[in-house]
Amino acid sequence: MRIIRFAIIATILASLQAGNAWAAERVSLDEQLRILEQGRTPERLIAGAQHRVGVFTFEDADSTGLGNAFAALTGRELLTNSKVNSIGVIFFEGGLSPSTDSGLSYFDKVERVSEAQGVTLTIWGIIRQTAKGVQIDTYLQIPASSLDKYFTWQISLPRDMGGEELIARLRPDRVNVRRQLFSADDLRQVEAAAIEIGRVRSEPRADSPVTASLPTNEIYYLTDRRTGWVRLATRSGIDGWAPTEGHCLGECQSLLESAAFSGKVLRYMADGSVPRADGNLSIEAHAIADQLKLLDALNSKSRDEVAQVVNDAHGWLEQGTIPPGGAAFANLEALADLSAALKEAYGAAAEDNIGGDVTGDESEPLTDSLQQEIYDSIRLAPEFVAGVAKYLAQSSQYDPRNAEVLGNLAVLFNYLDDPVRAELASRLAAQYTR
Amino acid sequence: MQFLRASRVTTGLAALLGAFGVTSSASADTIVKGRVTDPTTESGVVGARVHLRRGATEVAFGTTNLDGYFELAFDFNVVPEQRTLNLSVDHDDYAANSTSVAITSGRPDSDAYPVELTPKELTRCIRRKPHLVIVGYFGDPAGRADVSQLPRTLVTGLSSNLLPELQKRHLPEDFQPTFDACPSARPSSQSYLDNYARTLGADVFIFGDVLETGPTYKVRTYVGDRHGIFEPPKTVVNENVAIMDPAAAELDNETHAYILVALANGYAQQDRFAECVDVCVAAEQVLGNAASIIVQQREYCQDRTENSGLIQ
Repeated sequence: MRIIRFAIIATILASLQAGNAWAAERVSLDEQLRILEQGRTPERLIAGAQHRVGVFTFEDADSTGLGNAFAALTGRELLTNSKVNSIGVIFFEGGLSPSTDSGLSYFDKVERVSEAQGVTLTIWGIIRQTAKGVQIDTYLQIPASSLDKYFTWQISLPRDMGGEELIARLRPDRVNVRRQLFSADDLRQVEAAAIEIGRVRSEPRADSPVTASLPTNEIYYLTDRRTGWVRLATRSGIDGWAPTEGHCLGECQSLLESAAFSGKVLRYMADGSVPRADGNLSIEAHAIADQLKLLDALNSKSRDEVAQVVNDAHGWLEQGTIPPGGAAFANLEALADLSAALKEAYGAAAEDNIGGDVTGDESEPLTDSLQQEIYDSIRLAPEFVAGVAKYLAQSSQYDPRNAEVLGNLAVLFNYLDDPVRAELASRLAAQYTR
Repeated sequence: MQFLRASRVTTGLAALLGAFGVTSSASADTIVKGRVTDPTTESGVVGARVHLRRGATEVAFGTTNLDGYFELAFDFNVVPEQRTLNLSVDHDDYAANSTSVAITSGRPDSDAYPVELTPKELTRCIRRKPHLVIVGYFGDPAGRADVSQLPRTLVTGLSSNLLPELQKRHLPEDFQPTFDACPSARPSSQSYLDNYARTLGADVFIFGDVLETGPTYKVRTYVGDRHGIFEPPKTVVNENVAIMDPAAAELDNETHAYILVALANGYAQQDRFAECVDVCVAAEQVLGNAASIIVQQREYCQDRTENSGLIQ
């Protein structure tokens, strides 16, 4: 079967003013992979957008014919409802199942292409016939560069504790956002909704006449927005309105909720808004939402609030099975404990330094250099640090390739003057760093 | 036990007599013997033709007896230097196989030469890929359903269900499994599943049958593995298998979990204990609970990872 990858590049610039551009381009997936296999770099699409999202044709092994329809609805939802300025949505059309020429499949194939394009987030899915209906798995995949930039949290230890950094990172980075079952009626809804968003009407009303279908290989622009509608235009003269709501009902609407969650993750990347996962989303989606909530608390919340969030997160480790992301929750919990201890020690040291309550209004503010000096002189009790290290070492047993946990253990064992275990942890961290 | 004998000087006669199991040579002073077996059942192959050649010259010939044994006795120019002969075996129902026999001062380098013959219907399924999962024969004993395409359908389902589960955990490409169908692999007993896995070079071998028909079918699968961790093989009754809609037929999570455990054991056999742990965790999450067989495999591998050195 001839597989063609078709790329549509869409951009909404800041505040969605007229003149914001969507670009469209036809590209063969096989050709892109071939370019990569030849060691060349494919031309970067929509390079000017601040946030570029890759949406791939949902893998359609059972030939429902709806792989592109699911991708189109997902991508349009991201584009129009993510509330993110400067977003580019790239649709990659083609099969993700194992291919004989490259041997790649699914996540690995998505990763290869998305890394080359430098996208910040990718979404794809798998459509399967089952005895109960057509099953749709929607996947969210966060490239390594985005993990480093947006989903990594660090503590710098005081100089007197070695001054090294401890790291926590969002896991999993490959997430099954939701599994849904579609009936035949649901699938017809999806098909109809995909057709509806692929054409434009003369006015932002459902009863206004259809004036054109959006071409699949041409740049098009989002030029205006009204409640439930966006105005789209192409350089060849197509100009009209397409719906952003009401076109996709029932399970189709639920599909958009999966896309909306991915949009919330994108928004977290854009402005730090913490996403919430509703009850219908997968355990993995809930896990990353809770981790982001914890990261946010560590960054900006009070000690009590952090303690509450940490307590909530600990629930993931008491369920009898290993949580999504493996040791990620344990790592966050360990770093939260260390962070709280460091804050407490700093508060006490600062009080000693100025002879009063550092939080009191009457005290003189400490200079930056003095604050740093106070912080750098902190040494947490080795017994406490040993307890944290023990907890992390235990979590490393059920998630042995977690490089962040191993790297943190190397730092902590160094502080504890345990060079043998520090060297082991450091070597394993290097071995498993992706 | 009655052995067949053959002689270099009476090859044609030996073949004839071999059929009657009475071939002998009074002057023979070198004896090469062994057994030809079917690796899927470990039973002897009857009537296999056994040739011993030095270059293009046939030194001896015989056929195997009812238990698969052969014995070739022949005169051989006794020299102190080692001579290497080729022992080749063929049979109409099996792929030919051969091994080397080194003769020094008239004595072979082994007391017995075992030779395995792979059934011809299996040879086309041998992929020589690591971490292979083979779906074998599925049948409906009552003849109610045509399940001839089911193995291939299940392979598609296994690939799209399990590969993403493993890739989610960044399992290295070299460790990702390959799924393939071999409908002609039809064990006569579930006790042979591990043999089938070994013969096919697979970590996991599955076959099964239809138990009940209706709008959807109840299908029983037997899951065996190369290293024999499932002893006896795991049996899973998969509810609601949509055989009439081949695209919709897939196996239950319990079967998926067993496949993952067997793959994990394969990684452990290669001392890749960290990957073994990761795949066991995948199995737990696929199944939604920590079944004892998964936990046992995970803990076995956990104890052998280098990470265990981080705990005092």
